[in-house]
Amino acid sequence: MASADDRSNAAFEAQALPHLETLYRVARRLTRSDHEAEDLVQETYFKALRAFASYEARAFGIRPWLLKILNNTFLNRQARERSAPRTADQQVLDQRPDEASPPPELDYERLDGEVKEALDALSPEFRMVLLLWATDELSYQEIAKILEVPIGTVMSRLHRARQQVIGRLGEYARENRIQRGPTRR
Amino acid sequence: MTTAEIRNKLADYAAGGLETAERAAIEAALAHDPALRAELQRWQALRAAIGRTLADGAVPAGLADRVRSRLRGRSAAGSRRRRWVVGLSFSGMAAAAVVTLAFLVWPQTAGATSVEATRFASAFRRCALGQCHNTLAVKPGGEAGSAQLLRCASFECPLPDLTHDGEYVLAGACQCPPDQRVKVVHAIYRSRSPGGDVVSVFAVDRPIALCARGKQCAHCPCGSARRYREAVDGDVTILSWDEGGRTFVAAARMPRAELTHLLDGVKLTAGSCGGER
Ligand SMILES: [Zn+2]
Repeated sequence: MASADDRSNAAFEAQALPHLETLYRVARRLTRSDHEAEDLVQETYFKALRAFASYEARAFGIRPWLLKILNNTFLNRQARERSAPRTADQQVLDQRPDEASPPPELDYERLDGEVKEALDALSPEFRMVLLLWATDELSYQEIAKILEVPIGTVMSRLHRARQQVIGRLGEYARENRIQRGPTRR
Repeated sequence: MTTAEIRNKLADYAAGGLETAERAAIEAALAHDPALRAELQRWQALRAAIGRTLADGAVPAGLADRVRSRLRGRSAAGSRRRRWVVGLSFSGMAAAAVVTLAFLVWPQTAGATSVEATRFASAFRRCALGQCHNTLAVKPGGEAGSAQLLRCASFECPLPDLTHDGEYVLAGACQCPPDQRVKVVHAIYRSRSPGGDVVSVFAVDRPIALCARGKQCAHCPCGSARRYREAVDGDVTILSWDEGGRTFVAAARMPRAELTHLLDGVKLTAGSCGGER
């Protein structure tokens, strides 16, 4: 006969496993490593199963909840590896973006490889906000819950992350004379 | 909404967020503001580009099965454990060299490099439970307790012989480093019993300090002759000990008492290069 544990395991699997691909894809870009991504996803599911009882009481979709566990697990690992508190200066991280002149026009479709590199070069906090934002059906509000920061912080991180990515891509495009428009067939 | 508010919400709009009323307000502003439209396009282009990097590459085959089996392993762990203790009473140790390794590179200068225990747990999950590496080309021997590495490892090291009593077979070995600062030979042993418990032993190329969350791991109060240091990562138990001028780290999904019991009965084998290519 199935025990209560088995039933709750089955319920968890039924709800949580359909999001495996999303989690893995976010984890792979977040960790920048296939191996670490798998490991992070494994740990996320393991922790989520343990916390599943407390999840059921909440009105918060399971995907954002899983992503939140993934993000926290990742940040904890990073802190552990550095054997020191997180180095990202929260104030610098959460400053309002400069209202600078509009960014250069970029032909992203020719820059996919560089977009990946530019993402990799970001601090994890900036990288994660962009990854979540580009993941289907996550609003600012959900991103704020996942990252456990106010919505205003999501906005400012997103703007600053974009600024950094565009800065890097702009440099690359200038060096390689990739512009938007007539040069493209 | 002011223009500044609208600009702040454009990225959310681009991602399909926002309530109907807010979307309508933004659409009204977009209709007569080309600069805002250009800004929206920039967000959309960036989002699409990041979306492509997310979608790039396949999800590893069998990932769902591995996650599922780990989740189920957690609840099944209790019933699996008893079997462990049976069949693991190592009496007279076979002295036969089981795993033979040769050196191409000498170990770098010894120092108490501190490596996080979680790194070994990660490598264990990845290589032993996950991809089942056998990059050092283990060739199973005909009789219980014999196996050979057909490819030379990058340093010479003995490994514990978990295979001599027939309960375990050497299923694979690789050199995936748990941490970039050290080299390892990672031997993967699999139980012959159905369900196949897996034990990993990492022979590290130098003495290291095993730590957890930046702190030195404590010695295991298990009364063994070997002074194991212990750590736990999720369902993985990690034990390390020093022997012959290097550190060995064992990882397995079993309680500490069973892993120490298993390791206590095991001797290191001498090493020399496996000859066949
Ligand atoms: Zn490996």
